[in-house]
Amino acid sequence: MSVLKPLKAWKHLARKPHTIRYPKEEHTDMDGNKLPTDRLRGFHSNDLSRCIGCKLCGSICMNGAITYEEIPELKGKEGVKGINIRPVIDYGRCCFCGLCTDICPTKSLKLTPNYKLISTDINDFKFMPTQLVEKNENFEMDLNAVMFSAKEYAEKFEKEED
Amino acid sequence: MKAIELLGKGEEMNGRAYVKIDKSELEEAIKTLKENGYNHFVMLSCIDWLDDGEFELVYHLWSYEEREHVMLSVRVARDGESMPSMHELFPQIETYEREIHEMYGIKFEGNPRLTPFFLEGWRDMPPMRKDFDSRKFTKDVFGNISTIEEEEDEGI
Amino acid sequence: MKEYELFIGPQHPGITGNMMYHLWAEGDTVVKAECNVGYLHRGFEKLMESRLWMQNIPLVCRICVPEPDVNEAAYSMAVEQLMDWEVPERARYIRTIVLELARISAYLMAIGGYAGSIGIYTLPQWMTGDRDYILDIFEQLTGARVYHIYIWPGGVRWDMPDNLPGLIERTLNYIEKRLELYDDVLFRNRIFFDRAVGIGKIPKEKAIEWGVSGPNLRACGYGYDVRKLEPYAAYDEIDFDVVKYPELGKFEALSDGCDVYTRMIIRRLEIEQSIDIVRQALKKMPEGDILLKHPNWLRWKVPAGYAFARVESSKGEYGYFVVSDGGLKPVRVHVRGPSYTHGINVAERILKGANIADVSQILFSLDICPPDIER
Repeated sequence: MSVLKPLKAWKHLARKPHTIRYPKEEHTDMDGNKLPTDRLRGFHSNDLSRCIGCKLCGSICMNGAITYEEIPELKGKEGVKGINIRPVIDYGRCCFCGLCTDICPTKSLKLTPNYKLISTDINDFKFMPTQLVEKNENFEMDLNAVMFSAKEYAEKFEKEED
Repeated sequence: MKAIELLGKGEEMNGRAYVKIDKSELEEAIKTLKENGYNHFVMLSCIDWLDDGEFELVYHLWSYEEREHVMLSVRVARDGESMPSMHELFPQIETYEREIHEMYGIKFEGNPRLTPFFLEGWRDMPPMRKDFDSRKFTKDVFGNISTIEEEEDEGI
Repeated sequence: MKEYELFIGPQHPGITGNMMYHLWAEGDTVVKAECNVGYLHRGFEKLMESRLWMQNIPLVCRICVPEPDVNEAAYSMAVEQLMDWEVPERARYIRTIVLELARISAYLMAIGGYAGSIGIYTLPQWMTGDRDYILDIFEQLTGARVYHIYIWPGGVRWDMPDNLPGLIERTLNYIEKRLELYDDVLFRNRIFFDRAVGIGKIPKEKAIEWGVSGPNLRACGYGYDVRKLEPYAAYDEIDFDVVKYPELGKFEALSDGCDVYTRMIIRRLEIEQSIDIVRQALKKMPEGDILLKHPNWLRWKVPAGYAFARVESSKGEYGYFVVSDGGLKPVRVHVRGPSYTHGINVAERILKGANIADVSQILFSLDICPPDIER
């Protein structure tokens, strides 16, 4: 027991703080590895060509965050109903638990470490995830690319089919 | 299991003693268990069996010496049957009874503190009952609040 | 002297969360205390009755914010009891590591909060910063910093990445080094001795009857720990001794136990104990499966029955009572939070006669967490 011992805290004045000056500094762990790693549960990415529109992701989602939109350009097998629908996710409701990705039978729906999205419009937080979310390496969403990619993707997909 | 021997009935369920007991025998049973080492009252749960028209109250006790958990199950009718309060045996039962009184509407006779606990100004049916429709309640109470789109249309 | 009323909370820096204590005081002395909760009730237990068995996993972790893993573990263990499942060996060790890391992070928050309540504001800052290094581990292991959704019925969700044992070891070394500094600033500080010794006593002979558990019970001299009494995860294969009063290691037993001082020292010593457990678990961890095969989640029916699973959280005994009628959804999930007894019955009784200035440190020393009072 000493009255002076707590004064050791003063030596921290000369220490480098462990807060990060974002965005000048990158977030790293103790070893200097860049965070987040691939395992972080951020925004979804969906491989629209592998997705079969089975609606399983929507039925396990307890928050009702997943709705579906039809992409007429995507042609599926003939006579199979609902094959050209793809999930649209409302990130105001999503809790990033990842049950939808675990139940996905084709593993086309994935969670990416991409978690930054800033917008003043509430409707921007509801969009159809595509593979572009995954390709963005800066971990920041290029919103325009994602919002309009679904249709472009479908067109490209159709061209490749031909 | 010791609790089953002490009370002379009950079965083992998932490693715990599960004893069905009558309302009138309850106080005696808890006293017997408490005197024989079951001195830690874990919790008091209530289950609403809507199809049977009954509430099941489960008194959980634990013995540190025997390392045994016993569940005493008492059934009471859903339509307003009251229960004797056990708060004199273990003081924390008072709080559990207070919560169950609020959430299921069971009256515990002898409990001095059946005052509102979580809910304030609640006039509806006790909310943890199975026939309380939380979706309907939400719709009735919050459904009249306009959505953001509507507000924008009105220029708010 | 004239009696007056005082409200501590819900917005008060000296309260342990979104709750309120209604105090009646005479001069500086509290004559009556009443706990008032209801600011945080989210209806989890009602919600769980309308969700599938698997959909409850992302929900239960939200019951306790500083230490969410105990909820996932207890719920999973209750479901495993009903399903009659045996968890794979490797998964049991990973669970142990996750639960102990969570315990360390919860203790860092609890001790930091306590230090703030007696006016040492440096420690909360340091401890929150150091806790973040543990959250970095969680981020790499479980994919989230706070709500991990990692411990599942039948095992754990993902295997441990290869770089993680090394990172955990280095983080633990760092925290161990920092503990010496914490000792200087709080645990060997004159202010702590002057303020905490002999304050907030739980009567020893009443402790068990009142339902006190966890570190608060061990501070009263009872060496009861769920990890020893009813070993879950891999605790039965790990060598550790329960920390209890009066064996306080390098700290002196200044009072006769049961007080704020002893409770905080027990927490401090249990950080070291947890570090040791994680190291042992990392060393002993076998190879193998980590998760049993689940049935289709949308059609998963759990056999009828009653199950009770208990785990030792940093706050005390945590229990999940799960009732199934053999259907797709649970009939009832009831959570036994340690704060339910500590925060209401115990606190109301021991606050009687306390000085108003000590109310906040007594509450922090009991480690009351309102989210598990109101589920």
